[in-house]
Amino acid sequence: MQRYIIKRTLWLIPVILGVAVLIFTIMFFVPGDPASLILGNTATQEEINTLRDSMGLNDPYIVQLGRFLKETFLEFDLGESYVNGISVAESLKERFPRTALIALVSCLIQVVVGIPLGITAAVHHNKWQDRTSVVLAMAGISVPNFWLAQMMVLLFSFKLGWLPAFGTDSWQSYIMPCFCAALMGIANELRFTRTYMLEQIRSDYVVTARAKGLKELLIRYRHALPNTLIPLVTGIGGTFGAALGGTVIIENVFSIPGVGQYMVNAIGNRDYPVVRGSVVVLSIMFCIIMLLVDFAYALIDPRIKAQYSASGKSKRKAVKQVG
Amino acid sequence: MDNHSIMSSDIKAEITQLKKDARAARIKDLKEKWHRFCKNRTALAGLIAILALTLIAILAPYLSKYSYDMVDPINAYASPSREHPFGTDAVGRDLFSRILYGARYSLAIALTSQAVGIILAIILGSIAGFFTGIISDLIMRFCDIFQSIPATLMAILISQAMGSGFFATTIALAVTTVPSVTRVARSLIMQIRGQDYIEAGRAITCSETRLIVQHIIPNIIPQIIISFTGGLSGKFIESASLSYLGLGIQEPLPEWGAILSSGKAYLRYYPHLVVAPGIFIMLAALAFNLVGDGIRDALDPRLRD
Amino acid sequence: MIEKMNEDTLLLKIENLYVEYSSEQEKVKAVNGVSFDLKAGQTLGLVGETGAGKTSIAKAILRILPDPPAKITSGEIIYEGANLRNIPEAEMRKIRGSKISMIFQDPMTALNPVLTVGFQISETIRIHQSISSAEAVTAGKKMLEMVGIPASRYDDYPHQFSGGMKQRVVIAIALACSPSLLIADEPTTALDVTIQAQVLNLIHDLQVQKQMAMILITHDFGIVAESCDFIAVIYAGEIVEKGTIRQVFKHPSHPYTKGLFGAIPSLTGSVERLHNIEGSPCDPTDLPDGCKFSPRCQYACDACRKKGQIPMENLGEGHMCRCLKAKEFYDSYGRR
Repeated sequence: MQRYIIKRTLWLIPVILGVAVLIFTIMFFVPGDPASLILGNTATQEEINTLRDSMGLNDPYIVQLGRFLKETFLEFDLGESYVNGISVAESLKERFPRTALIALVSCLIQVVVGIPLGITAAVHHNKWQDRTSVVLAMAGISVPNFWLAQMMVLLFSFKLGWLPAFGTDSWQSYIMPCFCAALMGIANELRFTRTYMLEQIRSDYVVTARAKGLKELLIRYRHALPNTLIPLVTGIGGTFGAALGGTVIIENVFSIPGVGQYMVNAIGNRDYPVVRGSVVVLSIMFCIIMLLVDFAYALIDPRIKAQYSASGKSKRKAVKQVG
Repeated sequence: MDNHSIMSSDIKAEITQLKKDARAARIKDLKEKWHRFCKNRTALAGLIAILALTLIAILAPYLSKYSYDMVDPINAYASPSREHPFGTDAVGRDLFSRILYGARYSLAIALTSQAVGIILAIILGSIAGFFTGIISDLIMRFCDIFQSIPATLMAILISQAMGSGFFATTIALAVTTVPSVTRVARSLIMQIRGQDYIEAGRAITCSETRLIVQHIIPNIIPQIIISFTGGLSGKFIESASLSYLGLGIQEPLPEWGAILSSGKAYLRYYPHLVVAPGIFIMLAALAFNLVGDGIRDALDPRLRD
Repeated sequence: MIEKMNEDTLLLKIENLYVEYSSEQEKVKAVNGVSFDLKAGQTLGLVGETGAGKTSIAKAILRILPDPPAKITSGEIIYEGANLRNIPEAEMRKIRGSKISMIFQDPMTALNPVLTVGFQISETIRIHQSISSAEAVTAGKKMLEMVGIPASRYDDYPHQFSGGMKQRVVIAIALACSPSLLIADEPTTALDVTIQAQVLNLIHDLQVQKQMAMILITHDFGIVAESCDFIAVIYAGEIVEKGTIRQVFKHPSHPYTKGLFGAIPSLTGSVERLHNIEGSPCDPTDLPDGCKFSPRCQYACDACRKKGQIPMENLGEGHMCRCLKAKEFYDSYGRR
């Protein structure tokens, strides 16, 4: 198990480096010149070129990439915004908690609401509970979150005046963003859970359990549910990724000063350091969550757990034999 | 010798008969699947909605009174009326006409991006599935890295790198499909390759290409169709999201997300500018989801509940 | 003698059992009027092709048919004097696993992958007997040893066992509460040939030890000959022939049974070569009128295809055969 944890954690390093290279490369091809954007329309070609030189934009791709990687991972310096010169790391430090909060809470809502609804639907297969859940889930995966957000603003902020339409002044400001970022995920989680649970309920070992004389409740929750949760836990990484993506969009709807809004604004301004820094930070967060999910998966599935402890044992044995 | 030639002509006749039987069986199977799909009333409703949407997209110029970019500042912000069924926007463009024309862009982006993404994924997945070793490893590690960036962020970055617009949006959305479908295609191919009938084919010295064409492709097509239709509604919503952020289709082109985006500033006083395009996005996504589920159930009854 | 059966020792009596699977489009008649009885300690072999309805009979007895789509449409299942079809579910649960238990065909899927084998064995004991969990663990370990697995493997998971070992675990689960009736549904089909004998011997030994009655479902006559007292041959959900092993093996009188044995002694007395049964098992959604075997039977005549079930013919001493020409076939043995 320890070997697995170390191996899996070390794997994070090449992945994050790869992500950084990928992001840098994509940004390298973004058309438009930040130097001319900074200097405005009146600047001469010479002025622009001098600025580009001082920004290092005239260096070849590989030199720029190397500098970016060195600054990011060795000096932990994400650079300064081209637009206002403020340190990207500082801005991210201030904005990141809001984004993380919305993404984590909405991920939590998805799991806490979606999985029980999915189980209920599967257990009452083809009854009203199931049919209602299926219809709601279908609606949930079809509603674009930004539109839902605007409709909610229209109703709860403008018509009823219950919740703030934008900003982060109070905890109420987070209600609508979290819900909107979560909705599609709830629906997805419900659909997955229902499918897996139905599959498990029909499996052979459930028949064995029934033939033992177990009560239906025990069969469901002691036998079928753990088997349902295994694929769901693997899916939580993806769920979180979707929640993070949803958060980026939702922040722009509710004008929440988070990483998503920061990044989308920066893209318009060709503010490379801001975009790069934001995407790298969000991706690292995503990778760490996926890492934790993998650990959880290894913990709950005896097959994976045993695979690693067994392989460790057999290797040791092999070494002994050779010795 | 004579005997031999008679034998071989007999065998030939038998082989043609077998081939005919196989084709008949395939057609029967397809009919059965179509039948199963049609029995699913919600899926059928979705299909009809998609066909209607396609018709709207094709016939937009004939169905709408105005052009999608005809500016009429005097009639700006008009509420829905007989003249303008969905009202007009900030510069007096007829929202109804814009939405009808918008069907073209929304549909085209969703279909093209999904198709491009799936084709790329099949190619990569097949390579990774057939040539195990370094190439396969490289492709899979690349998928790992791609999937370590949340899909929405990836789409935003790529659409910007390609310089926003129809082409850029399509490519960006296509790329986000690639990693997961590549994995599906690869594991399908590895699974099928290991199966007995492929071994049997090798044993009677069928050529590798022949095996691919005759056995592997027909076997992965159902899964690929399921992936394709299952992801369409997602593409629809993603493309609208990009346009909503102002990073996808740009004004004055009438993609639904873009229409919604240009109306968002007036939500408080002119909500019809946001409500109408949103309903269309939602209904289209719903239709694609229903059809996707229906096709999945018809093609792969194991997944049915 | 057998006619004068003592009602007291009768453990299980199945009367005219019908089971149907219904989907939107069609109805599958899986079991069509099956009757048999079983006394304590006896072993009955249910033999037939795949899809003949053997497993449906077994699941019907335990009331674990997947409902929907399956339903017992009529018939009686009398176990120790009580009709299992009528007792409440809570009562039925007390019978399952403790008085009647079942061994399943595929040990690979019959065990829950996320629970230890020990827990799966002691779980049965714990729900049927009021004992502490420590006692249940001890009992579970004892069961493991009884089926030939060291007690130290109590905390292992199913994936750590081979197929044969898993089937031993399944057997341990089934026998944990010393049931009076064991239903073994093709217990060795999924196993390697070398393991089959081991598992069968194990079941047989435990059966003797615990004095259980057993219904052994199989398609293998060899297994039946070795371990059963009685045999019932099933075709398309009907028992076509039943009797003691000796009766049926010596004088198979239904053309289907004879087909299964592979040698068809002709009516004229000369012995023919090994023969396979022509055609394929009939479509259970569209059963033929009269004798269900008639489309594949070389002796079938118009009378065989008349509507209605062919009656059971008593060939003496409880040897029953569902064939209009049974007497003729039966007598042909005497003439030879």
